[in-house]
Amino acid sequence: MAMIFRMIILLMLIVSIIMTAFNVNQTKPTATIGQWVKLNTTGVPIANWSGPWSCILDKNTGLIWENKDDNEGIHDANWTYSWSDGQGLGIENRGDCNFDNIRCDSQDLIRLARQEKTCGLSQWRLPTAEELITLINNTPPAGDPVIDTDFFSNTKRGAYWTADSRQPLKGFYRFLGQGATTISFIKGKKTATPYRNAAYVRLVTSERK
Amino acid sequence: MRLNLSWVFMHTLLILIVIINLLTGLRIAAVHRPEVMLWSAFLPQGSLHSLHFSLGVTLLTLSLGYSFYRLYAHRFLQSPKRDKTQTRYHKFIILLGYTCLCILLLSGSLLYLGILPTDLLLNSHYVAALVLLVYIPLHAGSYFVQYGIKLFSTIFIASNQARKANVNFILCSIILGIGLFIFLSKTAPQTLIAHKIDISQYIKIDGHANEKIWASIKPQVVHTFGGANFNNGSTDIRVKVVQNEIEAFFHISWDDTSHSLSHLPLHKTKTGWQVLENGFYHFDEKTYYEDKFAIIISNNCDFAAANTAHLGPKPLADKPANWHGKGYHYTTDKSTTDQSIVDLWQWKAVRTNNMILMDDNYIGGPAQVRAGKRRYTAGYQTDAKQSGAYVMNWQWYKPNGIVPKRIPLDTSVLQTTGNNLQYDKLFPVLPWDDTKPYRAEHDTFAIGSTLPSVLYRSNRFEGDRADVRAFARWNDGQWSLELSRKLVTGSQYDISLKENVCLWFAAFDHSQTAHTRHVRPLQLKFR
Repeated sequence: MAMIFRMIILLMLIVSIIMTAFNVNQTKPTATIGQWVKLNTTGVPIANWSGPWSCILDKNTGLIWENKDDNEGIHDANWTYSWSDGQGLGIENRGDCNFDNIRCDSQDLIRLARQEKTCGLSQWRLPTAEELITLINNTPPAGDPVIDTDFFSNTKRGAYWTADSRQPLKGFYRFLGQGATTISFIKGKKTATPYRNAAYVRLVTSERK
Repeated sequence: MRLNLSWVFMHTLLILIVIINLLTGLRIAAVHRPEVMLWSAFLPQGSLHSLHFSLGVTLLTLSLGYSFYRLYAHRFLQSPKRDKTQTRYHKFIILLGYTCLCILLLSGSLLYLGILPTDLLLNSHYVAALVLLVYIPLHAGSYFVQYGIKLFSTIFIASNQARKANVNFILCSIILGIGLFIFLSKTAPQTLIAHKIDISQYIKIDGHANEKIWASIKPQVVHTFGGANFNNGSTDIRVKVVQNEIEAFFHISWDDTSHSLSHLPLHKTKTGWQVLENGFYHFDEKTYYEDKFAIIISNNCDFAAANTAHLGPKPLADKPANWHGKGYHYTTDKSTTDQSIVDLWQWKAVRTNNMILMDDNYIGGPAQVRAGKRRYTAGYQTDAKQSGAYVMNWQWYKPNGIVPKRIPLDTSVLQTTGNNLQYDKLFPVLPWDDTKPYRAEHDTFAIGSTLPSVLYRSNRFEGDRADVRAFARWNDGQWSLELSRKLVTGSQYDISLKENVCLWFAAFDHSQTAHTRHVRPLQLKFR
C-alpha cells in the first residue's frame, strides 16, 4: 500500500513537471514606455515599435517634432538649408534640396510643412536653441548623433538651425556680423553660424492635437 | 544500513554534478536544438559554459576515484555488501547510468579537445544526456518507491567505519581533481601561429589566396558545430595567419555546400510586397539570409567566447528578454578598456563583401535599454563609422507586408531577377544612386517579382567600422576568405593582434544568428 502511494507521488511529480513546462509562457520582450511618442502622418500616436512615423511627441515638453526620412520628399534628412525668416532677415536659397527648382532656405521647409499639414498640424516653425537642446542624448551608440535615433531617425551628425537669430559671429566669420544659432548633433555644441551656411533643419510645433 | 563516507561523498557529489550539468548542458544545447526550448523555464540562465566544463572535469575525477574505489574499497574502506538492495532491475538501471556517464565523459572530453569532427560526438553527448534524464526517475524514483524517505538517511548519512582511510581517500580525490583542473586550464587554448613575412610581400585581399605564402603554411583546422543548415550543423574551418609587424593577414576557408546570397528578398504577391523570411521576425532567420563568418578576438581566453556568451531568454534581470530565447553576448566589465571589450568582426556575403570589408563590431557591457529599439543586443555593438552604410530596402519592416523604400532605375534588374532566387541571377545589392524612391502609383511590377533588400548608400563604411578589409569567394562547396587588419588600430573598440590574444571562429550558413562554434579558443603566437 505504501509503495503504491509513493509511486503515485512520483508519477504526480513527473506529470506536474511536464505540464508546467508546456504551460509556462516563454519570456518575450515587451516595449517600454518612454519620453517619446511616434505620430503617424495624420498625427495619431502609434506604438514604439511601429512605423513609419512622421512626427514625435515629447511627453515632457508637449512639443511635437518633425521626423526625417530618406524618400527625397520635403522631410528628407539629407537636405540642407540656409537660414531665412522670410521677411528679409537671413539669406535665402543657399541650401541643397531637390523639392525646389532653386536652392532652399529654412522658410521653404516651414512653408511646405504648413501647406502639407504634416501630422495634421500647421504651425511648424524652427525650434529655439533651448527647445532643440532638449533632444540631446549624451549616451548614443558609438559614432551615432547625440539623439535617440530610434525615434529621430535619419538624424545627421551635423549642425541644425534654431530660431535664435541676430547672434554675433565670432572668429573667422566675425566679418559677416550676425547669424543664427545651430546645435551640432555630433556633440551637442551650440554655435553662432552665418545665415548663408547650409545646415540641417528639424521643425517643431507647440500646437496640441 | 549505513554506507561508508567515501561512497556517500561520491554519490552526493555525483547527484549534484548530474543535476547541474544536465540543466546547464540542456541550456547550452537549446542554442541549436529548438526542441529543448520547451523546457526553457526549468533551465538556468547566464554564463554557464565554465560551470559545465568545470563540473565535467569534476565528474572525470570522480570516475577515476570511483574506479579505484571499486577495485580497492573492500581492502581498506570497509565497503558494506549491498546485494539485498540491488535487485536485477536496479543492477540493469545502474549499468545504464554508468554507460550514459561513460559516453558523456568520452564525448564531452573529445568535444572539449576539438581534435575530431564533432557531429557524432555532439549527438552522442546529447542522446546520453537525455537517457540520463530518464535514468533519474528510473533509479532514484524506484528506490524512493521501494524504501520511502528512509532512503535519504541511507545515502546521505555515512557510517563511521574506517573513518581515517575514507577521509584520506576523499582528500586524494580532491587533490587529483585540482591537478586535473590546473593541467586543463594551462592547456586550454590551442595554438594559432602567425607566421612572419616581409613587409614587401604583397597579399591581395581578393579571396583567391593565390600568393605563394599561403601554399607554404599548414592550416590550423577548427572543428565547429551547432550551426544551422550545415551538414549536421558542423563545418571545418581552416585558418592561416601571417603578419608583417604592421598588419596581419588571414586566409580562412570553410565548407558550405550552398552559396547563399538571397538575403531577405522582397517578393511581390497578390496582396503587396512581402519580405521572404523564416524566423526574421524573431531575429533568427534561417532560410533567406546571406552566408556570414565571424571572428572574436579577446585578451581574455575564457570559454564561451571570452565569457561573453550568456544563455537563456533573459540572462540580465534588469534588461529585456531576447526574441529567440538563446541569449546575449556581453562582457561583465562595464568599462571599455582594452582588457574588457571583445573585438568582433563579421563578414557578410551580401552586405559587406561588396564593400571588401568585414563589419568591425565589438562586445562590451550590456547597453542601456532604448524604448524605440525592438531588438536589444546587450553587449553586441558596432564600431563607430564616419560615413557609409547599407540600409534595408523597406520603409518599415512588418511580418505581414512591407512597402519598398526604393526601386531600380533600370527595371531590367527585376526582369533578370524575376521570381527566381538563384544566386547567380540575383542582383544582391542595389546602389542608392541606381534607384529611385518607391511610389505606389508607379508600381507596375508583376506578381512574383523579386527585389533585393540591401541598398548601398555608399561604396563602403569609413572610419573605425572599416578597419578590417576582407573579400571571399565561393567555389565548389567552399568559401575562401582573405582579410587583413592592422596589428594595432588605436581604436578603443579594437583589440590589438599580439602574442597570446585568443580567437574564436564561427560560420553561418544562410542564418542570422545560428552560427557554428568551438570550445577551446585559439591563442595567437608570433613566429
